[in-house]
Amino acid sequence: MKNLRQKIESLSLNFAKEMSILAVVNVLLIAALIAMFFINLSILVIIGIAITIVAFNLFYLNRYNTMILNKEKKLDNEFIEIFSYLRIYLYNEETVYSALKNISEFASPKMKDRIEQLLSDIDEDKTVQPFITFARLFQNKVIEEVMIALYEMVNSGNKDIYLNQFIKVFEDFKTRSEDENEEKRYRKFDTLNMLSVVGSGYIMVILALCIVTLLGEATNGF
Amino acid sequence: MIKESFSGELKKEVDSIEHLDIIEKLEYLRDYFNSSLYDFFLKIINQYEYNGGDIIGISQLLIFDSRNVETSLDNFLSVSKRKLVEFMILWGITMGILLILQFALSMFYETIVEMSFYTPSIFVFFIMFLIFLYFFLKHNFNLNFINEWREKENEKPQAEN
Repeated sequence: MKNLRQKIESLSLNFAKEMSILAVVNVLLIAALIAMFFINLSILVIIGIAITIVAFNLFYLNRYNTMILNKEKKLDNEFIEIFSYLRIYLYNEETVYSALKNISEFASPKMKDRIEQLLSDIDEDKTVQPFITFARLFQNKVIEEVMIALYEMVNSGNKDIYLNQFIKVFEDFKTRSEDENEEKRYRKFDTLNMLSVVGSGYIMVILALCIVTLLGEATNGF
Repeated sequence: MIKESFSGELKKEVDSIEHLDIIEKLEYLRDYFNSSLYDFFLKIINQYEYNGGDIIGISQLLIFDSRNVETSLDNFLSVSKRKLVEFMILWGITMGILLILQFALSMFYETIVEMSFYTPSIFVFFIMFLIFLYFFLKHNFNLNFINEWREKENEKPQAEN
């Protein structure tokens, strides 16, 4: 398991800068908390600031895991896009090797490195191993099936039956991933709309507190 | 003939390069479209130029992919409009509660506004609203899902994790 420093550095972020931001915000919030205490403002405001400090720290430190997951997911999505072009090259009767070379032009630097590594591994090892090694660099396990189908094409000399098999495996994977991504985008809308309920709930709690305070004052004869 | 279906902005771009030949025009429009689908389209055009063949046949899967992207964009735009209306209605109802409190229940409002926690709490509420609005609009107008990894194209290459 990676420690915090490794996580931050794997995202190409500066560890010292990230920690400085965290420290500065914490100092400001704690200063506000102490100031509120001495000004003798409502206990609710003080509790609110204390909750904000805890929530901010939890959010700030957990977002690195989310960022790493998003980064991996983006590479999986890029695989789908880049290998869509590969299937077009193969459909147009290119060899697997030259199609892989051609698609690296459209890849991001990280993906390009992975494809170049795959090509150099294929040069040295004619078994399925380079394809499996490449697939294992991705989060989605179905990529392994796609790469095995691609290897079968290499092994059989681009026979139509293997080309169709590769296209079928890839299309299924692509459709499933696109459906998942679409569903995720729409679910995010629902989550954001649900936050308006949080707003209404918050207003209701404030009004309830106002009423309770008024009743308390009336009962105590103020 | 297809010029008729262009958007105003694209028509303007094409008119400004009227003097170039067709391939140069297509190359020029690379920045306008800024999509790997378009880059791939140019590759296919180049391939067709050098090798000949059946252009419809070699671009069949690309046409299919472009149509898929178009469909998912159309779906997203229609859902995002509907969700924006929902978002406005839901927050409108919440704001409505505050307005009713201020104008219809003014006697009650005058009492509670004196309470020390009321004003800061309402301030926090509006801050909350602005934050949620920002995230909603960011998601609503974000079309990067078409080729999201392009955003990171200039990212420094780094060691494999």
